[in-house]
Amino acid sequence: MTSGRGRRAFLAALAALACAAASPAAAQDEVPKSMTAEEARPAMEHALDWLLANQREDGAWGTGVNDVLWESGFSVETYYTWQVAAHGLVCLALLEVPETPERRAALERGLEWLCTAREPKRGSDWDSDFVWSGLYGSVACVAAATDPRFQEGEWPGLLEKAGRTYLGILERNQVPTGGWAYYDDPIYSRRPKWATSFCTALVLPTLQEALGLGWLSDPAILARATRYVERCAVPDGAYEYDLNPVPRINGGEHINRIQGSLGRTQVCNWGLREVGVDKITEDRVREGVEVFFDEHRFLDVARLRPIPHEAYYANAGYFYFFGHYYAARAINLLPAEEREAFHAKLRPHLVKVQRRDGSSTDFHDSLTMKVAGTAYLALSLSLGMPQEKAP
Amino acid sequence: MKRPLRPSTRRSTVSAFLALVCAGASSSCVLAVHDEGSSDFGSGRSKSSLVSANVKDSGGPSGSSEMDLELAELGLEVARHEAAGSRFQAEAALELAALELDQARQALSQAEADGSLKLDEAQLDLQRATNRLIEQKAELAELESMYAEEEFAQKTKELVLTRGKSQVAMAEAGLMLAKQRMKLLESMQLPAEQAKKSLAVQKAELGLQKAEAGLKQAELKGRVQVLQAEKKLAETRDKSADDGEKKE
Repeated sequence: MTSGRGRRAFLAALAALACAAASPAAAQDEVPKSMTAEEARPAMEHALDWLLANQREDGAWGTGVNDVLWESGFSVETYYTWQVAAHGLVCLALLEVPETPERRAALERGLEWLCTAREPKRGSDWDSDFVWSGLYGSVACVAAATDPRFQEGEWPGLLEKAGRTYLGILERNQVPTGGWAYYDDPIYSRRPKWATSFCTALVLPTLQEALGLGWLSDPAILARATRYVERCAVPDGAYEYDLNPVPRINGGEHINRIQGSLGRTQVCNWGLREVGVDKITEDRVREGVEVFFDEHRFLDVARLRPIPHEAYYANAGYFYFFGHYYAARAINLLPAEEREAFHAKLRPHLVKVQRRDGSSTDFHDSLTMKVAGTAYLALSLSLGMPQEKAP
Repeated sequence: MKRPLRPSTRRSTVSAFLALVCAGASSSCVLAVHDEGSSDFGSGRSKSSLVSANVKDSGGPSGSSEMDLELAELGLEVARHEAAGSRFQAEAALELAALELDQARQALSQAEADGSLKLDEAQLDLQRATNRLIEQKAELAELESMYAEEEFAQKTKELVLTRGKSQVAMAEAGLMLAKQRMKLLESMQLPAEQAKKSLAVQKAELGLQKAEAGLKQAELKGRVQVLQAEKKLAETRDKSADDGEKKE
């Protein structure tokens, strides 16, 4: 056993290390204000390497069981439904990034798993997290179905069948006001009643494409969803978390103020503009991106906080990657000459949160969150890479 | 309002009374207490053994006369002690009555302030309940308007509207209760509470008056007792002097 003096010295060294690590100044010094695509490329490659290394033998990413205590309390089915959603995100990332033989092989195995996996079910009366799998399952299937690499052989049929299954979840669970989310409240009903702006917005372009593919027959689904997101808009550029008949914003810190909407403003602007909502002009998109960087500290301080919505303006840790990914999407809606400056500002915020092994998470350390976080990271960086998508 | 006695005055009064009580408790009868001519408290010395011896030894007319004189002296001393004790008790009662009156007045004043606060709170609750009803009605109307735009998910809409309608009904009931509470508070609870406190003040005022009268009565009675004892002592001395002259 060490002597008292030795222990004290060790503790002092540990405390100094902790202080240095916690010092915002030290952390800020390490994060550049901007970064070129080439400087960020290794981080994207590293993230993709981690994803490939962590693909299971059956082609899946993540796990369908609860592997962190923090996430206890959800229905048993929910962990599987999150896995499907996170898996969908990895497929999206691999569809987006420059192709290599290893990535192509991983993508094909991943898409095969996505297309043949058991259909996710609603976990309980209140817990309808399976909507996440409906959302990102649909997005991934539609993205693959519109990718020139998957137009032959069994792929079109496989993707259509799976796509219709995931879209079916959305059709059956679209709330009366038109959106989607992941909980229901009393009186519990087969069709849930609660939706959020960001869940709904993320799938708008996919719904439009699905209508074009003939996978959806009723255009009213898209119209209702679009209207839902439009109604969530608040005059200052924020979007309500969820649609209320009369918007709820109090005078202080509130999630529906612009600082609490950083993770939603981008996806809502992007989703609405992609489906042709005139109100979302380039100026509006630009303003959203600018405010994202101006108020970015509220996402920084929320990242990795283990309790949902515990940071300022009720920001949650898991807004981080979601917000950055759709910020990258929103940036790409701006005129070509403007994009690089914004991507250059975005990249450091992605690279700084990557772990040494290439993975990342913005919330709990569950495998599924790491898969989702790493996929978002790779996707966000790839959207800022010049003209590299595979033919 | 009578001001409480100063601590030093109170202490000396209390110690005097305690000395009196102790002296009384230490003797088997009042005759056992003797004070050598001092009218001050606290200097009394017990001479019970001496007095007992005198009683036992007294035999002839001379002895009887001396004893009468001594008894008269002791009687005067007892009268003075009793007068002082009665005065002390009356003063203490007066002091307590004054404190009780003070407390009762404070309680009344507090009840008046508290009543005003309760009234404001009830008014706020009423306003809150009124606003809640307005908001719930507006929200329901907005929801109905949103739902009316297209025929979709009718059953789920009905569930949500049912929930909205019950919220309106609950807000209506809440408003009704807030109104009743306000009325009850204004017309019954607060007046009753204040009347109770006013009555307590009146009682305390009467108690003070009674204590003041008690003090005056104790002073007069004490004076009478002491005068009677002085008179008796003077008479006994005169008689003793006459007896002495006759003897000579």
